[in-house]
Amino acid sequence: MGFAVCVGNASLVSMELRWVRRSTCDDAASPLPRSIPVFISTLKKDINLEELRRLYSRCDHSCNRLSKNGGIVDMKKLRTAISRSDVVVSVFCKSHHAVLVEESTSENGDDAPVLYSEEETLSSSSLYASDLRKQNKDESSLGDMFQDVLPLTPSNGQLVGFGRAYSDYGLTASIHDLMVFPSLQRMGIGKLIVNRITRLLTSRDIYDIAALCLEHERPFFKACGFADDRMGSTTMMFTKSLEA
Amino acid sequence: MILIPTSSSSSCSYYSCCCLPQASFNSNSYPSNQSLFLSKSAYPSHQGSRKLKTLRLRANFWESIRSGFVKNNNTTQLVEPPSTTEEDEDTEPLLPVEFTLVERTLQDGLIEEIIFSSGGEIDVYDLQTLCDKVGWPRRPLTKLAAALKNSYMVATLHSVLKPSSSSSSSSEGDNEQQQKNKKLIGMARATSDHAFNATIWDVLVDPEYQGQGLGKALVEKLVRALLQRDIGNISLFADSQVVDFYQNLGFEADPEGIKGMFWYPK
Repeated sequence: MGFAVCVGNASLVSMELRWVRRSTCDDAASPLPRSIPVFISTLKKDINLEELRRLYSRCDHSCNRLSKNGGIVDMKKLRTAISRSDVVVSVFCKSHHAVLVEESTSENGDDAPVLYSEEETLSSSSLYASDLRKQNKDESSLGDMFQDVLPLTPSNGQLVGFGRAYSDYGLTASIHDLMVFPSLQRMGIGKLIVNRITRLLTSRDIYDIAALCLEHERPFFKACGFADDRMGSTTMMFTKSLEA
Repeated sequence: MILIPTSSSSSCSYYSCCCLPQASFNSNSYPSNQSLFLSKSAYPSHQGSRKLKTLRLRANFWESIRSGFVKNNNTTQLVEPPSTTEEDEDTEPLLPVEFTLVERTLQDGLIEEIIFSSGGEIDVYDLQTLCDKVGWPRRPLTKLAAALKNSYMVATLHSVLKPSSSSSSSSEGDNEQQQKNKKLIGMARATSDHAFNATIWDVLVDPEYQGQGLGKALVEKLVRALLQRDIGNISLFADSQVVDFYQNLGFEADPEGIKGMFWYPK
């Protein structure tokens, strides 16, 4: 992930273009180019709730952690949750990269392909194009090249990664709903999201950052710098059903 | 000390069963028609903002969408909670709640009232004194104040000492007297995204008042209020000695393998 274009004040970057790269040992036959540009945004206005809900279902992620409460995400609650989260990080990628992923992964014929929305405000598109030619070694068709050269805009990108956190603006914060589209995993997107969240929180002097994770997610969080509570506390969740 | 496990059907007679070694419990003075757990009506409890003599910043989330990307206001958008107009759309506003939990007569004739309050003012200095009492490490006051102000719910317990005879020192006014004798003895707070998740932090009760079911009352109320607002994922991180305490309240340790991890910068 060498190249990054930042927009905004140096102190607060809200939208950023990054490159994510698959490691060489991963499936070389994948139609995805080895590295693809993704766009990270920390602005709430960049979130399309419908897309977000689709991402939730594609990632098989429920807002209710305990399985008994699973189901389709409630849009009204989702809107509230987003508006009340202090930090939201969205990652977008180019549509044609998403389409490649779609073609290679969908066998059971999902309905309407997942729309990936991207956002990017590059200072100059020519800069972008030249870097693309440098990085993207697998482009084969002219059509693809044209797609690559087109600057990413809010309307032609697709949401592939998301993460949010809420805090008390003083002492503590909790990270929730971290997800990356399954086929684009293992490219560093998740880590990008987590690092962005922690960076935003620590810039506001909040260092007590917690994340609830399932057993299989623990190695990921460990790689991001998370660990079991050094004070030895036990995580507990309310599981009793409300009696009438 | 008898600790009676709570249940939603418990009535006000719950506290009359507690045995207190130092004080004789006067159950007659306890308001019998008042439901201890306001489960029937919509539980009003105050939202994150407190009257802590600081202005609450407001930013209109939807306005920011309409106006498009504005570079300078990025911090505003991220830091400030949305305005009240949006709150009314999303959730019912949380109203302050205050009522007497326990009233008893002490040996020297004074009447002690334990008052549960949610959404009221909290003196940060009082809170720090309380944290010192339970042996917690000190935290910066400004951060503490900010955390209280922006927590979704903060519930407190105060102890008020009243003279048994109402005629004494009435020249000063009873309210002032009560202010001086009002002592913070317990607190619990929860942060939330107002929709799905909530985390309970900082549950503490003055050691002198522990073992009387006050901590249970605090947490129970908090949980009840959260559930009533349809917030399903309520989590907390319990020290080893209080795991049983929370288990009795309906919490489960590591449910479905969910564990909490914390960020430790290298």
